[in-house]
Amino acid sequence: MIGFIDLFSFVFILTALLIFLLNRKEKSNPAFFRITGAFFLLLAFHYLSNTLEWLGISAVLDPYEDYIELFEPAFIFFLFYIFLSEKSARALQESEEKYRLIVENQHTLVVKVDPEGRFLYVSPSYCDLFGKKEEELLGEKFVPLIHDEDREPTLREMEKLKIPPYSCYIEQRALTKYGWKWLGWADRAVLNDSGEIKEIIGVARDITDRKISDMELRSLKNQFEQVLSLTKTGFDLIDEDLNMIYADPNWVDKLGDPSGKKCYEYFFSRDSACENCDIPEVLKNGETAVSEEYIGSENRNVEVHTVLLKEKVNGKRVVAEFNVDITERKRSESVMEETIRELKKLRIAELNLIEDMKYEVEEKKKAHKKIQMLNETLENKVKYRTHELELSNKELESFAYSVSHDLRAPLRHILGFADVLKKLCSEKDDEFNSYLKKITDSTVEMGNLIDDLLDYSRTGRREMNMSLVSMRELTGQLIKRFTHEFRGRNIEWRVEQLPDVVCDENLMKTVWINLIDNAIKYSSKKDKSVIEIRFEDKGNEYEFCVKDNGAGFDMNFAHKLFGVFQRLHSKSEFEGTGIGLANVRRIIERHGGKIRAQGVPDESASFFFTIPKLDRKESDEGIV
Amino acid sequence: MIQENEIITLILYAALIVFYVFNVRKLNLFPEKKIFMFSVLILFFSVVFTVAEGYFWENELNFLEHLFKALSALLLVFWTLSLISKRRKAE
Repeated sequence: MIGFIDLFSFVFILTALLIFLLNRKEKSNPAFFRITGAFFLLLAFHYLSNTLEWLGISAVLDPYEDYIELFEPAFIFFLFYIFLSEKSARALQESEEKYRLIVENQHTLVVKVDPEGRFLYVSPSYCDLFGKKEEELLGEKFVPLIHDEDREPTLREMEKLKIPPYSCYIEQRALTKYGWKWLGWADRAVLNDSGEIKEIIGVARDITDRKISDMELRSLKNQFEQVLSLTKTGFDLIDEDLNMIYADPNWVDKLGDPSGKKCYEYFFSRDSACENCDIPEVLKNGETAVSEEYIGSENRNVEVHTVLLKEKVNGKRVVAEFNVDITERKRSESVMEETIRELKKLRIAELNLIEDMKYEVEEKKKAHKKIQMLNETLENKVKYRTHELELSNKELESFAYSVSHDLRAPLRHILGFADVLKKLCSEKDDEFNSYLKKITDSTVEMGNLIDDLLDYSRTGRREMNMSLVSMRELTGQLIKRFTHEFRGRNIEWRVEQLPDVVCDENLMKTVWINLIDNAIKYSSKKDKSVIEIRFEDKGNEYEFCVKDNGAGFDMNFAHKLFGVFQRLHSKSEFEGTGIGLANVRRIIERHGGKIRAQGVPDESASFFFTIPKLDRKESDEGIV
Repeated sequence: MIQENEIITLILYAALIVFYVFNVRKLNLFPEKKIFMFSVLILFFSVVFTVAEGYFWENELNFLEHLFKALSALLLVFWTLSLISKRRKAE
């Protein structure tokens, strides 16, 4: 039985050994593999010896079995030892790999130099930055090109390595293979037992990005402060304990450095917080507070906007205060309020004015109504008067007709009976005949007077028929007629080229006949009559003139010339009824013109009359 | 009959067990350590039985000694297989 068990033991261990050998790909730990294999072999040898003993075969291996058994625990010891040593080695290797991984892949520059500046250690990042190889640098001196501005501060800072705590921090610009870079060096001196510098360890980082950010940040800060200054806006930062964190340059200029001061100390020189301080409320609610303050020393009004910032500073909440100068706004508001008050006053005045105007308008309306009523009344009166005038004219016409008819009838009877008396009386009775002749002449004269009066009357009443009349042609015809009529007389005509005028042709003909007839009549006592007919353009009107070299007249009696039955010469000197010039004046006035006379006794007489320049349209509208 | 080499072997195994107990943390990562140490422990007991059979129950303890050795060998087969399968899984 035991023999079988030993046989199984041998088979088992042999199987284990075979499996182990067949899968000997384990290369990561060859010692472990070998020791395990040897241990299995030892066990196999042990169990084989037992099996052979059971089979009764001479114990070939027996003499060695006891020793082999001793080695079994020793091999297990060895196996453990190998495992532990392998583990330590692997841990060390892993640690080295980690360290290498860190050193070779970090951007931090690490160097170690001796007091003379020779490199004892240099990190790959340093070699890479300056484009050097490690073997080129180790044991050698190398000083990269430092920016001119940074050399003096660098040397000054490195002096600190000679005194406790034997460390310094330098920020400098160095020329690398990537160009100028900002490097921040933290150097530390390592001392030997006698207190002398043994070596210097320097650790640096590329701070170019930070420096650029700093510069941009500084530039932004400057711009921000400039904007605040331009807009007269004060700015400050205060933490939750009312400590001043920042004050803009204007505040710093006026009140000094704010660091280490409470806001109420800094701004108001107080010992405790202000009673109306907005900051606690803003910190509590997180909402922006706005308040107004008057700075008496500067005679300014400011509006303070207190805002809670999201970012904390040194673990404390911070508020920002914007002090907006609202002095101008306040003044403007004051002016505006004053203006509004003035406007209100003006508005009231305007309303009063409107009321007055309304009253005036009402009054005007009333007046207008009154005027309308008066106009209507006047119109009615005019109509009434016109009607009366028409009736009067009709009566006058009737009267004139009656006069002409009724007065002519007795005149005809007188003339008839005078003619009968003439026939009945002896032709030799001169005295009687003389009386009869006087009766006859007076009757004829009476008849002429009646005719002239009727003409004068008709001239004033007859309707005017305006048309464009050629004065040249009109006077030409009349001159021909008078020349023929007075062909025994020596008459010199001086006639200008007269213009065309708008007038009633028949009435104008009457004017010319009267004036030319007078000129011929009153120059009849001269050997040679000189009659001038001329005109003058006076802009809005024509002035016509008829001048003769006859009897003339005294200008003192000129106003009597145009009166009815007015005569400046006796009938014995010159015949006439005294109605002609009165008739002429009436016609000229009906045309809208004027007439005047100028005379020198026994020399000349001139009659001037004007006719306005009218066109057909005006004449048709009956302006005249 | 007790042999000297058996006593020495027992002492060596006992020392081995003590060493293991003292370094159990360091040997924590020993591959398939439970199977292996169980096998070693059984082997240790077999040695104990070997020594003990010299004093009493010679036949019974001798039987147990050989049986334990067989069990130990069998566990080592399992240990080997376990090592290989684990390595294959890792691969």
